[in-house]
Amino acid sequence: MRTVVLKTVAKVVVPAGILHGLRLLVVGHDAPGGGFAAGLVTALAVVLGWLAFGTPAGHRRWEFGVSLGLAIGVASGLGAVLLGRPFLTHAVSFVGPVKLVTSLFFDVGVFVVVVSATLAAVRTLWEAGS
Amino acid sequence: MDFLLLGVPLVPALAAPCAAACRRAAWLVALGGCGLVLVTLLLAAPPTVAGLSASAEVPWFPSLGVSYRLRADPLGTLFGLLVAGVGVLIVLYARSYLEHEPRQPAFFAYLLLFTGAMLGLVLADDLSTLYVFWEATSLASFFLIGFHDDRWDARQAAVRALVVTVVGGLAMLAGFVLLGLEAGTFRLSEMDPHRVQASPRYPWVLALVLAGAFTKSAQLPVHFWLPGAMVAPTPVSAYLHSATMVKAGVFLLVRLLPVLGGTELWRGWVLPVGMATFLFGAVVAVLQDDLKALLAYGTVSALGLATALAGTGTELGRDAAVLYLLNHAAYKGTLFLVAGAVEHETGTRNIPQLRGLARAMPVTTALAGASVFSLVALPGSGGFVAKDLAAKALGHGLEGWLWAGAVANAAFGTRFLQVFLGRGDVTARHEPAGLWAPALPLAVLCVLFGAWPPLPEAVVGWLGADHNVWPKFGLGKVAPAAAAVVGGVGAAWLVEQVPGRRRVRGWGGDHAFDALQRTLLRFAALLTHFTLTGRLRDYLVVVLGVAAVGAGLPLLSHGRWPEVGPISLEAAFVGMAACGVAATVLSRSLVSAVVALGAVGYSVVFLFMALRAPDVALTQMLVETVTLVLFLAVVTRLLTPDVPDRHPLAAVDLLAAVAVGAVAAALAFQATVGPPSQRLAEFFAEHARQAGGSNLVNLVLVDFRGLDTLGEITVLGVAALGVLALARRPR
Amino acid sequence: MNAAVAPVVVPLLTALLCVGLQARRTRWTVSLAGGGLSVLASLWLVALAHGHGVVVLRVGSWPAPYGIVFAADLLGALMSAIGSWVALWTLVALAAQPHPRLDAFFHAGWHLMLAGMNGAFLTGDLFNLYVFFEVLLVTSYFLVTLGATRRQAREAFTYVAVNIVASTILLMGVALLYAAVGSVNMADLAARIPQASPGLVRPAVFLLAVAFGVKAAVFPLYAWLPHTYAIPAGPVAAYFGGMLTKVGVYALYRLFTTLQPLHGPEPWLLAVAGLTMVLGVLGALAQEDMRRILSFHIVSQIGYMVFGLGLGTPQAWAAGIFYTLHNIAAKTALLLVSSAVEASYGTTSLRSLAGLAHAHPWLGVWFVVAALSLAGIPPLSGFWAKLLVVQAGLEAGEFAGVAVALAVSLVTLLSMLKIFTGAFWGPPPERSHISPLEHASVVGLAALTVAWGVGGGTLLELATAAARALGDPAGYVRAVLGGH
Repeated sequence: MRTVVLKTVAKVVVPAGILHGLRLLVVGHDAPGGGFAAGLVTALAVVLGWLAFGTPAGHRRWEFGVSLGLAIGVASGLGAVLLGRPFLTHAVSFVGPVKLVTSLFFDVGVFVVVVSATLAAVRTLWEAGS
Repeated sequence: MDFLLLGVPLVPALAAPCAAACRRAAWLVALGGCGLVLVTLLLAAPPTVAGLSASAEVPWFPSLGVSYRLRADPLGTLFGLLVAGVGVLIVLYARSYLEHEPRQPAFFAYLLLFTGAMLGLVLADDLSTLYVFWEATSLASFFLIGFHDDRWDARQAAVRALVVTVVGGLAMLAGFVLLGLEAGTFRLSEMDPHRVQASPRYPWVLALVLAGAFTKSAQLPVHFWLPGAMVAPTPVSAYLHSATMVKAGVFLLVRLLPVLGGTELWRGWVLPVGMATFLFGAVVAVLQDDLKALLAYGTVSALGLATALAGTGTELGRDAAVLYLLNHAAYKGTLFLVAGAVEHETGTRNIPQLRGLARAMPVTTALAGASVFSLVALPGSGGFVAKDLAAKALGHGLEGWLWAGAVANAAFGTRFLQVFLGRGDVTARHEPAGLWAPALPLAVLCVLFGAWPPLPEAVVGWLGADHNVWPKFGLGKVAPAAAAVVGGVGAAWLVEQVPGRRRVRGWGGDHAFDALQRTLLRFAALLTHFTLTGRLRDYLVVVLGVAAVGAGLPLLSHGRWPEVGPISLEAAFVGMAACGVAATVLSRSLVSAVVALGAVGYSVVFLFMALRAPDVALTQMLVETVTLVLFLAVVTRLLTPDVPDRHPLAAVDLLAAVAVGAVAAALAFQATVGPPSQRLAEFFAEHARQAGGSNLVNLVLVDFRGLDTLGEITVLGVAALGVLALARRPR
Repeated sequence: MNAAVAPVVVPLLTALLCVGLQARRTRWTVSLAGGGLSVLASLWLVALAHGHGVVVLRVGSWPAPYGIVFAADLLGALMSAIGSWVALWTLVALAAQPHPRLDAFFHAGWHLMLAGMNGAFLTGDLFNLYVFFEVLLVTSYFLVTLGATRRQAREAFTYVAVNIVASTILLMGVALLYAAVGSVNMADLAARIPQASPGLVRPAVFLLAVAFGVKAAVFPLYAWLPHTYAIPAGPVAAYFGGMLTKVGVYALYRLFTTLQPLHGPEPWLLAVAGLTMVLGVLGALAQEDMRRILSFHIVSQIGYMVFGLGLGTPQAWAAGIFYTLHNIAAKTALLLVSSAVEASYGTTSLRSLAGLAHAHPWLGVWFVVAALSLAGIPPLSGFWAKLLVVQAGLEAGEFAGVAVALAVSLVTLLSMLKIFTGAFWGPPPERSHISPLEHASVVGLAALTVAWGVGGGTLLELATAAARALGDPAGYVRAVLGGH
């Protein structure tokens, strides 16, 4: 499957896909996107990369990624608990023109989980079949 | 002081684990436990003679009105003394009887549990307390009957006994609850008989409670568990299955007599059952060849008579029943201990094989003589006094039956004594004191009851009655007794000649029980085979069918239906999805099915776009893509890509699927008929700034309903873990 | 108050730590400590809910009915407490049967499932309940297939397929209610359902009942259960057998008290209850295997809980709640005995086992205690549970139902005797070691049934208070919606 065409296309599409995914993550608050979609786009880009260039050797422990993402999600809610506010309360503040939203951390957690889970599933099924 | 009373059932029960823990000294612990309660009860007894009843309670389930409440009244104390006293003797006896048994500690532990439970039963003043101890005695009996659990017959006998008594117990539980509701209290001593008996539910209460009493006291037709229980070690037969536990049913009748008794219904139900059991047991007993079976049917008979006496519903009947039970405990207990000694020394209980044991076992023979003397109710014996009072209580109509029973008892006694007379092949080795000394006090009681008037009088007086219990001796009394003896000896001789008597032993009803048990098992297996097919499609059809029918029916009356309008863009996408579904179902290969399913998904993406929901459409599209990739990975690499053959029930499946789809569509339509509620959307729009964004969908996901998202990414994470774990499982 | 969400967050974090930690010993310590903390958190919640009524947390500070609300009433708190307790002790049993390659997954699964259960018990939001059901379902599927052979994994598919269909039905029900009322907050639903269109509400309530009924395994939706529970590792089966179906029972209670309250006996619910009892217990009787017998009994006893619900009075609900709590303890203890036996003797078939009571007297004692409790023999907790149900039934005049309940308890006893006489009595086997941890796990639950039998007055008071709260949906609505 690893044709020259695929490799050539992938060299452009994979980084672009990953970047697009990250963009979706950041703009999610105001435009279509968000952690879930961003994660899926990024994961698909990586899968395309695997198709084109082959999977990297070595044993990956995807469960760490999954649990890290979940931990980020929970942690973003626990900050409020420490301040005596209800769990998962988020705050917005502006540093100059830059808007800082704590719920973005939550979205990052979603993103990490989605990427790890998708890649884990694809990779495992891939390897189980060959 | 009264609180000591509460400890009476608990001391033996708590001693049980200690007995199990002490290997050698288990019998000493048991002796100590029984002895301690005996002394306590002896101390508690004197005030009750004067008519003072001590009671004590601890709240147990206060909101249910249930308390652990005991009351030392004359009846309870009397039976308590019986239980504790016989308990002491049985412990001493069992120590010799089970000399070589390695599981002696377990035996004594069970025995102690039983003693505690039985004491609780007789002293209970609260229906719940009573029931708790009632079932506890059944359980202890179960473990003791099944003590030799390597034998199938012991296990099965234990099961039969437990099941029969628990059936009665369950009925009784319902009866107790009803009684408690009708009487307004669970406290026995505070129940108002008029209120209970006037209630329309009185017959139910009575029937249910009697079911419990009859099963426990082995009345017809569920008597069979008692002879079956004879597989237990003999001390158990003597203690539980003759002297104490089986009397619990009659005890309950006597206990409830003031509340439930005295009515026509009571007399009409209890008396006939008792008399029938009395005669049946007496006749069948004589036909037995096994010493313990003989005694067991004798017990059934005696319990029948006591039940009948309680069934008279009079105070006289009550006193006669109590006196008779005490007397029975003394002579039948002795007989069992004698039978145990015979078996222990000769290795058999088969009457035709046993002859002439008197030479090797003189003391045992004397004890047997004393107890048979009372059994046959010869003048001067305790049995005579008790039977005389019984005759008075039953009245003239039933004296003839009583005499017939006496003949049978005489035959029974004769057959028992035969073992000691004459000359036989089986010889006893010797008679250890441990096997006769414990029976001695009981045998003495047999005689004392009939020879020393103050004793029976004291018992009756204690119960608060003042009838003259001492019979007037005269030809009118002695002659029938003598005639009964002659008739009995003749009958015993006749029985020995009957060749077919062995067959009678099967008249137990235990075969019926086993057959019933087998039938129930077979029915259960058949039913389960048909209801649980193990086929996923059956289960799905049921679940979906129930949902579709139940959710569809209200639509027939409340549903609103669409008017056909112009075909919109949305409808076109829905049509596209429908085509995809059809293609999925009809595909002949898995790959094409997966692709068709993907088409369904992308149609939905378009539908979302048409409905102006770009976020949802984006996510749906990505999910579809990833799903498709995964599906294809699985289908092409892991599975053989064939579609299984058509199922013969495919038409049913099609019907079910269409029905479910139709109902789902109808429901979806109902949901869109009315104007959509904008409450939530308005709130989200108003607070978007506060949440720091303008994309409402994403704000709902990460903020307004962030917890849902946290849950869903957990789901996703777990799914990933599952895939990883499957790949990593040991092969 | 954040206390309401603690029984969810604590196990969730513990699970994440268990995945992350490499050293087995550390993972053990963390896992058990997390289990203990979850128990404490939920007990704290019980105390709060008993003292102050519903403990409400507006997650993310958004007011009800717009955001998600956690509303821990006494029923939810009690269920979460017993769930955490079961998780802790089954975890101890798991310690006795290590799976070197999969340990981290087992631990993570254990705590995630607890998080899912506690979330379902404590949430005050119907859609959120659906989400936690999903967490529960996916984690349970994960645990069923952990370490399973290919064949077992395929059999487990029945379980997941039926339950996914049920989840879909649940989602439809939630969507219909949202269409009818315009929110998914349970208090808000309770307040507005009476005015909503019956054409939406009735199908919705029915769909919810079917979905919860599948989870609870009531007749005729129970078929997936008995076979599924024969598949997983012993401690997993104990964990599931104790708790999984009770989440469905809890949801049914919530549905028919808070959302759509019953007023008096509901004939069709009572019929379902009776059939569940009978078919479950007959199925149990037909089995020749300890674990299978116990699995079928799960179904049968769900019938009692639904019977209590269907009688439709707070008194009967108290009986049902007490029964549920008792049953969780007794049933888990029995399944843990079965798990210990399987670990040591390699089978739970009654044909291959005998004389266990001689080889392991204490195991025998605890089995007898739990089995008798299950059959409702005094003075164990099962007796009081049965008595309460019977009393409530008689007071409601449901004589036929009471007769069925009593008859079923007899057959229960018969099948317990079948196990006892088959596996525990008889000639002693060649003795095999049973680890102290297995004993401890059994005792951890069997002790409850003894304690609640001898001194269950407090528990009954709690159950009564919980039922009284269920009987006052207006109070729940006030507590959740408050000043809004």
